[in-house]
Amino acid sequence: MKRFNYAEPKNLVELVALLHQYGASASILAGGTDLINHISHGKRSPKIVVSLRGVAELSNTVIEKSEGIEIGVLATLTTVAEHPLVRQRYTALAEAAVKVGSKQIRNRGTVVGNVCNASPAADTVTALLLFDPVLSVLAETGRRTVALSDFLLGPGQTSLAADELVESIFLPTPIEGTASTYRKLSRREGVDLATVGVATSVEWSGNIRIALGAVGPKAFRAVAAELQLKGNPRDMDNIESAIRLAQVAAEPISDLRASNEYRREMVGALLRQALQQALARCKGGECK
Amino acid sequence: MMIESIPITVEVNGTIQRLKVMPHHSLAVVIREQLGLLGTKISCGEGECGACTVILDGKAVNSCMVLAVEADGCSVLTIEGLAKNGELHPIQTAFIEEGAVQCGFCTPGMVMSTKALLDENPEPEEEQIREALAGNLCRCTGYHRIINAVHAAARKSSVHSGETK
Repeated sequence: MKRFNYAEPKNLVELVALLHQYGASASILAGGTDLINHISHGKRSPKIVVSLRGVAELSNTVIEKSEGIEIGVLATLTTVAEHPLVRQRYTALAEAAVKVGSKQIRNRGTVVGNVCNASPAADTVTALLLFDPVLSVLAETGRRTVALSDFLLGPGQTSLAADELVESIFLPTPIEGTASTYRKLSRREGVDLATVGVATSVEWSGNIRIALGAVGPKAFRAVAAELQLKGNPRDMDNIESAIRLAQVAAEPISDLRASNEYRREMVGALLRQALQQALARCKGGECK
Repeated sequence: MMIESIPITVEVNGTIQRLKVMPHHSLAVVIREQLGLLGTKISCGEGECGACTVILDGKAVNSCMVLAVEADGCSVLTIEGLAKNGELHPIQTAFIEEGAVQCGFCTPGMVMSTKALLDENPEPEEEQIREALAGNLCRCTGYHRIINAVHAAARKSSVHSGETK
């Protein structure tokens, strides 16, 4: 692996000062499961790796707030997937987090890291989009907040400047009784990237949310399909109309995992399953 | 810019080690080259195969994906830390008895993932075993005997409860 220096700032002041000083020649280390591969493959060659592990103010857990939850930058995929409140209120996120990589990867890799890596196939990103996520971004000059959909620009690209870091992701509390699910298609069941990912949530009032991953330059909400289903999510013909709208919204590429035609077909298959599952969890206006 | 080694203190298999490590060296490299513990294997070097699995502060991790400097202040358990007083650990015995070892290259990683699983969940279901070992690749056995060995190890541990700790 190419050589680099290493710093372990003890607090946010030291951290942002380092990021300001080194800018694009610094890489931020949280779980490292993407960064270390990027460095060893030569995709990134930082002069300095800045670890977040010693920064006193940064959190490695999910914090319950009065109006939602906050996922700390150091919260691992395992921590998020196993968190009782995430499993209960943000079920799709728990289901997506447990489908990333292997146990060993999930024990190190973080949800915030999965977001910042900005893979179009990132499982947690697709699921997060259901829940109006807002990122808290910090630099020496101050804090800003940004919606996840604005933060993601394209494959591997985010609006994060060289001297900024994401310190947490806030998810507002969904309306009482919202049920959700994440469905992933991959070539094998474990330890593989998503060929297609579909996340769906259902409110008891009949509002539906749909997010699609790995079928465009970034994961996105299929808004036309959501509107089609609004108020009438259980009618089979209406579901088929919505599925066609989601398939039109998808712009998949062909690559070694699948052709674009196959991906578009599978958007339909997975969305049908995801809707059934979310609606079943929301039966009779009483979500689990 | 001069790149210098960094002092770390890490507990490896119960012994405190004070080491100077290069920032770009993975924990796997330091375990093998500086501590001479060659049971931990480096195969893919990118977190796919699990041959380098060790237990870091109670969690199974790919030691090729952890910088050695990040282990400062942590406790590491490698395959060499399992046998006690010349007696194999029940998981190791189970792997031998069930014929779960062929070429042996993946075995240390498999055993460490099993150890982490059984510490957390002493009586896992088959599905939980498969999930815990999904990040450990074996090109010889076809996995059935490995899964059997994990079941057998869980049974042994429930007989001698506490012995896997």
